[in-house]
Amino acid sequence: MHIPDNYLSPSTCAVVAAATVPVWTYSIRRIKAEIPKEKMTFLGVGAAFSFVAMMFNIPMPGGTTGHAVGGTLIALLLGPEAACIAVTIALLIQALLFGDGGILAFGANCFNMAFILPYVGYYAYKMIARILHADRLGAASRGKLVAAGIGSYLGINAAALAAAIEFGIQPALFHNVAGVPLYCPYGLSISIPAMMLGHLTIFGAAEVIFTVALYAFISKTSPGMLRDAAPADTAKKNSFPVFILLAILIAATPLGLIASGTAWGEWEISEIPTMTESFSWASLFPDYSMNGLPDFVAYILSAIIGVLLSIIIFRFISAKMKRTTKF
Amino acid sequence: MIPDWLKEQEEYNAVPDRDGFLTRSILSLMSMLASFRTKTISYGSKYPAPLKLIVCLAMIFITSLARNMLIVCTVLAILLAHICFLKNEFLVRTISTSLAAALLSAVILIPAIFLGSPQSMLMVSTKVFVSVGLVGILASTTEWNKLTAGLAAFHIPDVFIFTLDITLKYIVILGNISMDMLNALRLRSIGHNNSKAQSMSGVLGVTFLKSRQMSEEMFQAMQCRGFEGEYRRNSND
Repeated sequence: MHIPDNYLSPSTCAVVAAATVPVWTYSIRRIKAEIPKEKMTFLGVGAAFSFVAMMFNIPMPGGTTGHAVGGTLIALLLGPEAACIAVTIALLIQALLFGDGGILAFGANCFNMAFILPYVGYYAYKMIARILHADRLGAASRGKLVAAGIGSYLGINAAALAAAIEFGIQPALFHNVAGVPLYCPYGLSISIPAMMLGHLTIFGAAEVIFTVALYAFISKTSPGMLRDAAPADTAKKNSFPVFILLAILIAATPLGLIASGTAWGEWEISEIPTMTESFSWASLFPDYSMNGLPDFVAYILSAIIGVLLSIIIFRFISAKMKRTTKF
Repeated sequence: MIPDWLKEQEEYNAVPDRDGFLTRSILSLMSMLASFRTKTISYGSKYPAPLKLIVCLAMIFITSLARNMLIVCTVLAILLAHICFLKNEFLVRTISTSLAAALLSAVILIPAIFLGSPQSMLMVSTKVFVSVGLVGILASTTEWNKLTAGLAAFHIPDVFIFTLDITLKYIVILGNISMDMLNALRLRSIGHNNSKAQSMSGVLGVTFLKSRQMSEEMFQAMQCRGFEGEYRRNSND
């Protein structure tokens, strides 16, 4: 779900980042007001925990693995405001130090994963827990675990939907005179199914397993640590609804495979007639892009790039060779 | 005197078990920790971090705004010139991350050729290569504490930078703890172990509890050194 740079226009990035600023301000203000000073250090350690947790590949039915964002879990443990800041910092480190997610798209990524995901997940959890009359029960009660699972599922899917909409509005808003999209070329009709199929199944399932399993573990071992720990936390249950979870997953996984298969096929067949007309390799290298400038500029530039590329390729290969011959 | 049971030939063959998720988790943790460990500076460290951050941001912005291939190619040439002067390990890492990102976006954009916008593929993939490469150079030529200090130039609240600093330190500590536990789990599960997947939540749960404990200890240590709940950055950092 990490949006790289150049898929969204800078103006979209600016608008979404501007929308995220009040959320950050609100979260920091709430944290300052609510979190006692002895827990300030835990914000940083909590962010480190969320970063490390993203490295874990969750085993899934069918032998595959997936990795979770974990925003809802942190919201359940520390509150949505703390989750917002923790995920923001994790995203900043990923963007700045690992090139995962764009710099300009940082605001958009935070809007999706640090605002929508934990807030939707947390409030969905609250609502479902109230509907199931579990809000007064212990943290490890069945109702709360179900609420945590559904909340995290809704959270990650809401975030994916937001990302899909950000992608999908690009070709309509930003294209050049010839109608060629400047950024993400796929409209809403492609971006929403493409993003949602994965998140409704595999990634959503990974997030649910991650949230429920960890929530159950922490509520069993140290229930006082949870944000809304009930005062009478004695009625702890050792089992949690693994069977419900497994049933949902087993039902969902093949569904996802079938669904994505048909969607891909349908889309290709319907697009093939137009493809034969519009497709030509010559247009891959449009000469309009160098218009208005003397030819020699382009020649010199391509010569420079060619020389630099060959140096880099040579150094890349020699660096790789050195590493293998050391053994 | 060797006892008799020790002389007997063992015929135990461990039942093969699937532990792909363990291997993959350990590998991703290891590669993350490895990139945190290499901190040596290769080139360009004489410039102040805020300046580098602003220049990097400006170049990414220009690349993203550009509708003309010539501008993108000029930035590409500057980027490649910088990469040429990097040390081997940074050169390999920068090139592989940005190439991977560009290839991924090229694959994602293949259908766009058939949808009537073939230029998007070349343009967007080149732009992605340039942007990821610029960030890669920034990360490999700047010490990370300088980078977080550089963020102060953008008037980011001190609490945020303080949290970011703690995060960077504790990622390594927590990463090491959870990797030790994963390795222990792997070494102890010989043959078929059905409860291995369930231990996953235990490993992360223990990491969480440890992180809680460590943050309390850190707060106590900070309090002993005069911390009163307000964090102020030293202005001449």
